[in-house]
Amino acid sequence: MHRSQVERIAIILFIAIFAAIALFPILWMLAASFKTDKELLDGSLWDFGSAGISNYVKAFQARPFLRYLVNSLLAAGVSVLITLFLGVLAAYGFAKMRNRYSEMIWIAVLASIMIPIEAIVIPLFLQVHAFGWHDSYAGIVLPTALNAAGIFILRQAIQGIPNELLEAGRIDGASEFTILRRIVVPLLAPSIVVVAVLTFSLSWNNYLWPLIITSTDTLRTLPLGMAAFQMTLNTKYSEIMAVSTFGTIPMALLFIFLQRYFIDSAIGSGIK
Amino acid sequence: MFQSRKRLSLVFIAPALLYLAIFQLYPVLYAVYISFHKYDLMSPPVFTGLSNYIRLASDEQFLRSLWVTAFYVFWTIVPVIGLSFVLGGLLSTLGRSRSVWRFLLYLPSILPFVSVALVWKLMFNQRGPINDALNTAGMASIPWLTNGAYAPWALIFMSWWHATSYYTIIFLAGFLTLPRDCFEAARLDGAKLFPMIRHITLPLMRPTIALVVVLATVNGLKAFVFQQVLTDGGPANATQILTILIYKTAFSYLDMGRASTYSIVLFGCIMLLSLIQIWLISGRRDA
Repeated sequence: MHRSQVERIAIILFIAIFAAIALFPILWMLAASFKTDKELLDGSLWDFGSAGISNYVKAFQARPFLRYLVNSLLAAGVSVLITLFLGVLAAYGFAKMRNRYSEMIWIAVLASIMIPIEAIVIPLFLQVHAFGWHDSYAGIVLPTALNAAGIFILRQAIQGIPNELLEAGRIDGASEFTILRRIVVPLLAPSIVVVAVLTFSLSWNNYLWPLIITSTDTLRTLPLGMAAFQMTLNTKYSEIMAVSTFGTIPMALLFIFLQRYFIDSAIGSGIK
Repeated sequence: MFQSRKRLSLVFIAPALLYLAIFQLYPVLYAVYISFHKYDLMSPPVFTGLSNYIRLASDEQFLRSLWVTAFYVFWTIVPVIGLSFVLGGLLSTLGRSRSVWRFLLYLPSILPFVSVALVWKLMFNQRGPINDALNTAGMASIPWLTNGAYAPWALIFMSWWHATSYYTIIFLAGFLTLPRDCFEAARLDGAKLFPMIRHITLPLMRPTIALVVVLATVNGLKAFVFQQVLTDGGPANATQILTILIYKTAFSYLDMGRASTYSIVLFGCIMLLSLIQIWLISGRRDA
């Protein structure tokens, strides 16, 4: 383990170069959001802009970005709630109440994790139309709300809970629902946060489905609003960067406070 | 009581199952159904049998798109997997500073995809920082997004930036599960770095490598946002990957039958890769 100092410095230097590359576009976006377009295209890379927050103000005047934000938060919030509620129930059923059918059903659930939304948008579109949900919150949120990968992660976690704990509850005469609520859920807390973070980020990045199902501007989620703003004629580059930065803020806040869970959810989503 | 508990399990599982059946399983079957029809949304679907599938073989737009997709996925994942492997491995050798570097390297993954797309679109601008850098190095500006020869590469370059961040974390997690004493022993026996990587690291990391290869391929096949925002499949279809073709065929040309057929092809590819992945995951658990 006595690696030479030179080797250590070389490794850190190598990593630092790639960390700088990872960071550059993000810092550049942030800086650009405070510049004028002229400064952005002609000025030096590292000059501070003179635009102040005017790009943000103008973008918000041009389009209802707060509304987009609320729509996105709502969609992500509902997805997290549905995934956790249905997911914990199903995961418990699959992990602790096995019977001869549940193994087969579990394989079907696993298979459904693999179904990419990109391949089923057309039937989903027709189906949601038939439900009368076109261009509505229900249509945007519900079809993609349940993150099946969440069930997988929760099931793994519940399998790790010793049966003796549950048996103790059963002997005391507690119903399965009470056992789930009082014994299992408190033990699941870390996995629940991981699934919440994963589901939130997936929902935050949803683009294709809301793009297809919305036509009213005020129903748009943030990614759609950002992309539409960019396509509007004569939109200033610096204002687009202001909007890009704005869209990053909620995820950045989550990441700062829940960093550990983000990393775990990245690893957990490896199965998605 | 035991019997009733088994039956009760259905109550727990049913809500999620119903949900998946309505919004996942049924649409897949429906897509297969539509792919056997001619359907433009205006008039009712007309059954055409296998003709949508037969036409694929001579459908130049589709074949071109298949090639564009394969090109994008291949040139994105090969360098990304190599680089992520090295970065993940190096990160795992660090001590206390590891979490700081991991934090910095992971940052690109927390940006919304659309933000990533918008930033890179501007960076690839004729007067953007990338061309500025080329000019400073004495080279001419490159019309990154408006020339069909460069646009696919522009998308590949930005995907390197975006994807490396994510897979580095996955590889790091894999490296951290490796038994340290193996390397200690080899080192004490005087093993050299590269033979050690080849004979110890690579075999031990094989499950993680396989997982990342499948994941990266599937994620590459599912890409949509970058292509849609940066080039919208252009110029002259040079970046029209399958997902873009499906979207345009369905919602610009209203040819639902054809678009569903393309979807089934995409679905088939992803399903096949996913089955390999399940097989790999369960294999790893048994090991």
